[in-house]
Amino acid sequence: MSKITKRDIKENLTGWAFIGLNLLGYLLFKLLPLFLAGVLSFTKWNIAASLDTLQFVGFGNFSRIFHDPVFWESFWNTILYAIVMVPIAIGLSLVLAVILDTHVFGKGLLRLAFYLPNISSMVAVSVVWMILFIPSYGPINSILMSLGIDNPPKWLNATSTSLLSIIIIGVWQRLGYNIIIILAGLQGVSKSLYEAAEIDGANGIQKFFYITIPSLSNTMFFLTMISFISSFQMFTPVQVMTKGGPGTSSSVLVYYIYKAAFQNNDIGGASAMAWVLFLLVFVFSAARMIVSRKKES
Amino acid sequence: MGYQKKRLVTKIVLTVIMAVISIIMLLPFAWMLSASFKPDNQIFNFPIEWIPRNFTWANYDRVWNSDVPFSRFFANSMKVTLLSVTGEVLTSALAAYAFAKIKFRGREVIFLIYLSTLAFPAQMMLIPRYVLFKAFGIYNTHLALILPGMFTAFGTFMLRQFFLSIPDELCESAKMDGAGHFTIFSRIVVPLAIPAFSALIIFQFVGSWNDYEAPLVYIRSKELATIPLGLNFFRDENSASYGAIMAASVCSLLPIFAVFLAFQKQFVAGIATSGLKE
Amino acid sequence: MKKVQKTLAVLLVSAMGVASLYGCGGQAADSQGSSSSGQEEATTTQAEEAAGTEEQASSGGAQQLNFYAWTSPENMVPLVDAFNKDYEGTYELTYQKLADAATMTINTALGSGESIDVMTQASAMDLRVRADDGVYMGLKQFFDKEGWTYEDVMGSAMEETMNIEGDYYAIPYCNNINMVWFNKKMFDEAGLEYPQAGWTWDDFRETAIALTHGEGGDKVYGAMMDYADGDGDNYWDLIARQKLGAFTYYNDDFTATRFDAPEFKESLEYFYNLAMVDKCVVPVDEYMALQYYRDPTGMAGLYNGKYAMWIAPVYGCLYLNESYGEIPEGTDIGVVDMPTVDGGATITTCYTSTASIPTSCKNPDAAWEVLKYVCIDRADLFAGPKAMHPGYEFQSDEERDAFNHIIFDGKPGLDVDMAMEVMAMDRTLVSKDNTVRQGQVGINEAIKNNLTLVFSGEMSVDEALANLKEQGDAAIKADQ
Repeated sequence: MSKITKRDIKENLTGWAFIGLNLLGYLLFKLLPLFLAGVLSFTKWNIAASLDTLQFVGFGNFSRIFHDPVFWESFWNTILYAIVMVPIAIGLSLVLAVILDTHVFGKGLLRLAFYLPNISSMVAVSVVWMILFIPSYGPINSILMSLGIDNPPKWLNATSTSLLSIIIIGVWQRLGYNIIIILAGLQGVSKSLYEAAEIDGANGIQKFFYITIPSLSNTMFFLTMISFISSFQMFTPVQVMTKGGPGTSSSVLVYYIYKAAFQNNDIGGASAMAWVLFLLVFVFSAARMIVSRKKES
Repeated sequence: MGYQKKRLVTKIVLTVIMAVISIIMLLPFAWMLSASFKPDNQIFNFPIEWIPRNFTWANYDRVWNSDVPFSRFFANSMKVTLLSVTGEVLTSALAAYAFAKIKFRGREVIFLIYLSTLAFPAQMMLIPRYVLFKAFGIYNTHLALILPGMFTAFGTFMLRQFFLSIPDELCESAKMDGAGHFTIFSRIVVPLAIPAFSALIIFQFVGSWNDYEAPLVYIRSKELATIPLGLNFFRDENSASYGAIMAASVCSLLPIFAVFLAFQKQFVAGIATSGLKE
Repeated sequence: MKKVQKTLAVLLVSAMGVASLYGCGGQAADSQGSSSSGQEEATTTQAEEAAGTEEQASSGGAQQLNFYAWTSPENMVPLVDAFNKDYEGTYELTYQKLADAATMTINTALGSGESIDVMTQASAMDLRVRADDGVYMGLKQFFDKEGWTYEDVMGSAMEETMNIEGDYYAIPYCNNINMVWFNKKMFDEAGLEYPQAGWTWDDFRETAIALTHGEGGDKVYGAMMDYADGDGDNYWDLIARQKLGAFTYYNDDFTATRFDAPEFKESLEYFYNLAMVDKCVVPVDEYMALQYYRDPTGMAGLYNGKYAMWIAPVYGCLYLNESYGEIPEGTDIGVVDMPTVDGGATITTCYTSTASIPTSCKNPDAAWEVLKYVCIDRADLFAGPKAMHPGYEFQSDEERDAFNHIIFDGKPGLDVDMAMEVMAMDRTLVSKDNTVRQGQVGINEAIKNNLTLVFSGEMSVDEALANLKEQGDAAIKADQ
């Protein structure tokens, strides 16, 4: 045991003073609600009624949701959405970001254009997308038909394309964020590497694959993880545009949670499903943390 | 010379291609903007008239001068967003400094807890928070929207990553000169961290401004509604008018665009250096 | 360019700063309740609040009562003023606006600990759940005290749907009767006679086909209705409801569904054919994208000539009002009863919204006065201005006509004479309110999940009904 000096005490006190306010708020508004969410998932309760009417039902909520086919469909749709949307969005934004970085005029304006979808309210934007997607005469299908495609997709109104339509909107919305992050990552790529490659006669595509991508591996890893996490939590477009339909073809976990809690008086079931969602998200965050820890050490 | 020329041509071609793509990206906004200047019965005319034939301000007039006090929603959103973003920047900056630059007992444990809750879905907390806010007596007040936004693990985490990149030697030499932690924080660390703050401000501003569920659950009085909830009121009460709904949407987007325009340079720099990308 | 960008940004940001200062000022005023700021911006609600506190102080003994609904506050002024005048010195009623009628919105308000004397709701299922969970008071005691029976006041059909295990937990403040609205000009142009009571579903179909023309974005449909999706009413089961009566989905002892009954097949097949074969009603994708499920949009589609007939409740005429959108010159809207199955007497569906007294209410007798006032005594000031019929039955033709005038007068573009005449006719009402708890959530989910597939052409009528039967029965079993 080393001797505790006056300076150590002061350092400790200062540390706690700096962190105190944030920690207090964090405990009250994050940790406590999370704890409560855990408790609620084992109960049956109507929030309109007093707390005395709360009943503990053990694992009842969990066994109920695990026997619910729509829950599982929503679960798989969530994963499907993520594994299709994330790679497409990242791939596209990588190409766009590299071009934006050095090869265009008016970088700032273009960057703004790509970023706008990301900062817009999804509620407002979803209404517009619904109109763009109208199968019979919406702008998208009008264009497709004028290009000679006689039977364009029915987009939001068919089980085969409803989730795909939402993926398209997801990519549209996600691109800007990804581009900004990749642009930031590109600032860290050493210019001398490119110069050396140019002297060796490498063309743009070779430079892209042999220098840009390897140098960006950290950024791409971060982006993949954060994209997966946020796509697991996607729900506004579903709620506004398809309400999970046709059938249950576009239902996702958070939408199903929302419906249970907001429409069907099922707070316990919603909390139980929220824990499943949390597990899903946690696996990805844990992976991210483990990898970035490894890098730090 | 030939090489330079080839490069210029490539650049022009790529600029044109990128411009076309970005125009496609912006089409939904263009539709929104164009509809907001059209009389209702011309909004769904096909083929689409991107430039309104009968240009009208009537929809904007409806938004700002209707029975529904849209200016009130606007002011509420401003207040909630500015206070929660300011609060968050302040509290997380202090906490992040402690995590990054002060060695105190329990630091690692607390940081680990912060990290592990970073990814909790917000929807999970809606109902429990409602129960808590009732107990605290802040249900149906703006505090119910401001306070949770003020204390986020994300902000702390992001700023900590940035502060770590500020060399310790800088702080140590200030300490030699007799500066305390608060002086180092306010004189050295904060000025260096402006880009990181910009990035955080944009992220949180967007999140708070567009938040629909929290006001829906915690705010009951119409006069306390923020814009996303207010848009809902507006849609209920003017719902036959698409033009008016689009005009209201355009108005709700403008402040966000302004914030992004104001901070975008520092924003990219902030992400580049805050460690957010790793 | 850069400079312009920057200036613009700075301007906008400073505008935001000013706006937020004003917002903070608003908060200060809110928290002090009645501080007179004298600012132009002070909203009506704030002013009302201030007025409310002052009045409370001046009237001394008057007891504060709170009435919760989602009607916009401006439209509640006559009712609240009338109540406060009638009960001057005893009660002081304040109106509290809810964001919407959603389950969660009402539940959070009910659970918030705010002092609520009367709460309204649109969903019969929610009413049942709240009654079961002890959120609402049984109202039989008040009826007994008045010397009334529920049946005498509200009618036997209403009594049947509102009876929850021998007690009543709500009074309907309105009864929404489903009608067919039509655009007379479009009938004239097509050279068609206006429909008359006693017409049949075959007539409806022929008329709708005759009125349909055009292609793509310019296509005009014969009719628009909600078949199965969206937030509005569903009409896919309309014929089954006409034939089978109230609690249509359940068998007699509520132990199973009856989606296997031929009436359901007939009904769904009929609407399927309209939508998917004849294509004479607005298809589901347009219906969703253009948000026709919102009643103001539904009415706008009718007067803007997007379709010629619209199946909707009586209060649909409320949206014949310039504040919801521009009504074209020469608009002429007529109304007719629902088509019949056999050309005989009219049977049509209806549904209610209800008002209840929470158990947490501090003075139940006072709350009962409010409840009685808004639902029965002065329905002309609550249901009437919303173009809704009251929940009770009219005692005389004069009373009925007087109320219908409140509903139909002052609606630009409406053929008031026709509406008055039509509403005076006899009709049998079938309630759509479902206060049965068993399986209701599951049945509603099953309807939505299967019928959206039917109307996007991916599932057959028979398959959908078989699924409904199976999933509905399972849901009932799970809830027992």
